[in-house]
Order: sequence, then C-alpha cells, then structure tokens
Amino acid sequence: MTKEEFQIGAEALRDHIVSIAKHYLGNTDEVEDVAQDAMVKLWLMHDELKPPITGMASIIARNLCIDHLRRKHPTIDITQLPESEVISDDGEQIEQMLKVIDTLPSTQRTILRMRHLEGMEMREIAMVLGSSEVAVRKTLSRARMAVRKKLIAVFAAACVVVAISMTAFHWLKIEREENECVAYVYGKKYTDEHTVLLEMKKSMGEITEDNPQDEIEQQLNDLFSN
Amino acid sequence: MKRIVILTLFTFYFVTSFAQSGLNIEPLFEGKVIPQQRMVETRVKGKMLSKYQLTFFRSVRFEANSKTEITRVHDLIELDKKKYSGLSYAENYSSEKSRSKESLMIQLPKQGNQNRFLCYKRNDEVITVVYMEGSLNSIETLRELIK
Repeated sequence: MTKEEFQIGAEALRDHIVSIAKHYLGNTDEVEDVAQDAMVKLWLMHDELKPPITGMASIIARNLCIDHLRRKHPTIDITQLPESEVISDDGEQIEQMLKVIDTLPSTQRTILRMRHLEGMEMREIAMVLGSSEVAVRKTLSRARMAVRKKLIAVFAAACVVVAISMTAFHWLKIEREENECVAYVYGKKYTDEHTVLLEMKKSMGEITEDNPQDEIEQQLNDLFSN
Repeated sequence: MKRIVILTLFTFYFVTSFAQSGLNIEPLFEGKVIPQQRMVETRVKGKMLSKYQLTFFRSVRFEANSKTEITRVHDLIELDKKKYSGLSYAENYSSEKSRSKESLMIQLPKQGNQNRFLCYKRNDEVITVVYMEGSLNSIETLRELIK
C-alpha cells in the first residue's frame, strides 16, 4: 500500500478503529490514544500492507485496548505542561535524549521524530496519522513532558553517583591521611609500623642528636681555616 | 556528565595537596632533586606520632654523590631560611657551604593550631631533611621525648 493510498483511506480507517476502541474503553479520552497508536502502527507497516486493511486495523485496535486496560496509569493535566523544552546543543546531551526518546511509547516517539527530526508540520502529521491537529499537539506535549521527566531522572541518578563517588573518595582520603605510615628505603616501599618507625627515629635522631665532639672539631676547623 | 564527574574529582584531589607545599625544599621530598632509589623517605601521620606531640612527620635521608647535590639542597634550604628569616634559628649553620657538618632548624609559621618545623642536617655527604607538624613547642622538647 502506497503512502497516498494510506492517506486517502486514513480517515475512514480511523473512524473504524475509534468505534472498536469505544467498545472496549467506553467514551473516554483514552480512545483517542489507542486510535493514534493503532494508526501509527499501521503507518509504520503500510509498505507491507495490502488493501483492504480493515481486518488488520481491528486486530491491532483490539490488542491495543487490551494492553491499555492492563496497564492503566494516572494521566497528567496537559494544561500544566510547558509548551517547549530548551535543548542544549551538547552532543552528549542529544545522544542521551535520543536514548530517552527510544523508550517512549510508539505514538509519542513517532510524533516526536516526525516533528523534531523530520521537521513536519502539525497538519502534515495529523494527516498522515488520520488524526486531528489537537490530538497530535496533545500527544507531542505529553511526549516532551515524558522526555523531560526521564532526563531529570537520568541527571538525578548521575548526581547520586557523583555524590557517592565523592563521599567514598573523601572517606578513603581522610582514612589514608589520618593514619599514614610509609617508608621508601632506596625505592623499596615499607608499610609495616616497625620498619617505618625505625626509619623515622633514625631521621629524628640525626636531627636532634647532640654531638659536642663534632662541634669542637668544627670550631677547630673554622679557627684554622681563618 | 562524565566531564562534571572528572572535573569534580580532579578539583577535590588538588584542593587536598601535601602539607609541606609552599616550601622551597618541597622538590626534594618529591624526589625531584635526588632520585627516590637513592633516598630513605619516611611519611607518618596519625595516632602513632602522638607520643612525640606530632601529627605529621616526613623525612628524607640520603648520601650526596657530588658537591652539586650538596649545593642544590643547601641552596633550597637557604631559600627557606631567608623566606622565614624572622622565625629560623640556626645551629652550626654556614651560608658559605664550606663546612662539612651543618644543621639548621626553622620553626615555620603555624598552620591553624599546629606548629611546623623544617630541619636540615648535613654530616659530610649524608643529608637529612625533616618536616614536622604538631603541638610540639620546640626541638628541645622532641629531643627529650626521643630519649
């Protein structure tokens, strides 16, 4: 089935899917979500489809409704969602964002890609999916919110890792600095207390020893050298 | 993210540098004047020093191979002596390096409530340099404690 054939039949197909979804989910907003999901799935496989595709659409819609009922979760008030996200130009951040996008539900992922990677207009996306512009905007907004939430979660996790690493590093450093005991005797390392203290006392002895004989000798040397 | 982690850890490492930093003799402790294979280096910190009224002890001891090495160490000590001229007290020390035996003890400015000492001794070719920190008041006290 060509892109054009799909676009022509999309509206009627969507009505068919909505009626099936209403049968399972009642007259709720979730019907729209399921219809969009089903349309996205059909769009993604339109190259392999052969008309008529109503039967295939029914099966997909029914399965999606069952999935939806299984994992029912609270919805977010979209009036409180921000319209746009500030995306940094940093390559690492974009890579991270693409990974996050890959974890989104297929509809959100497809719309997000269509809008931001392929640069399609809302009207075009709505036409391809056989949906309304309002529905596409809603889904896009939800997708953006989901990306933001996941990125915040990734950042928070990284902060926790940094905090733990720093605490461990600090603790090890304090531990090491508070009780250091090491001697290098001509390049060979000793950490046993006995050897280290022995070497330390030798050095201390050198510094503190009184040697009157040396002093007398020194004074005599100085006297005669003058 | 990786850059933040690396930067943080590096900053952390450099902020906590060695205690005797800032002294001219520091390169000697780092093995930059005499190779470590020719020295006896000691670094002690913690409870085991408490009986000497110290919290940190670091020393290097070696036998100089040439007059150049003696001169280099002497000059570094001389620089620290000049830097802390108001605080140093010399014993058998000569600025002309002509003597075969010399010793110098410098009481460095306090760091917090810690007294700091830099000691240098040369006995012919054998040189000992010690850096100490602690509540110790004077070398005389240390001498008494070692006995």
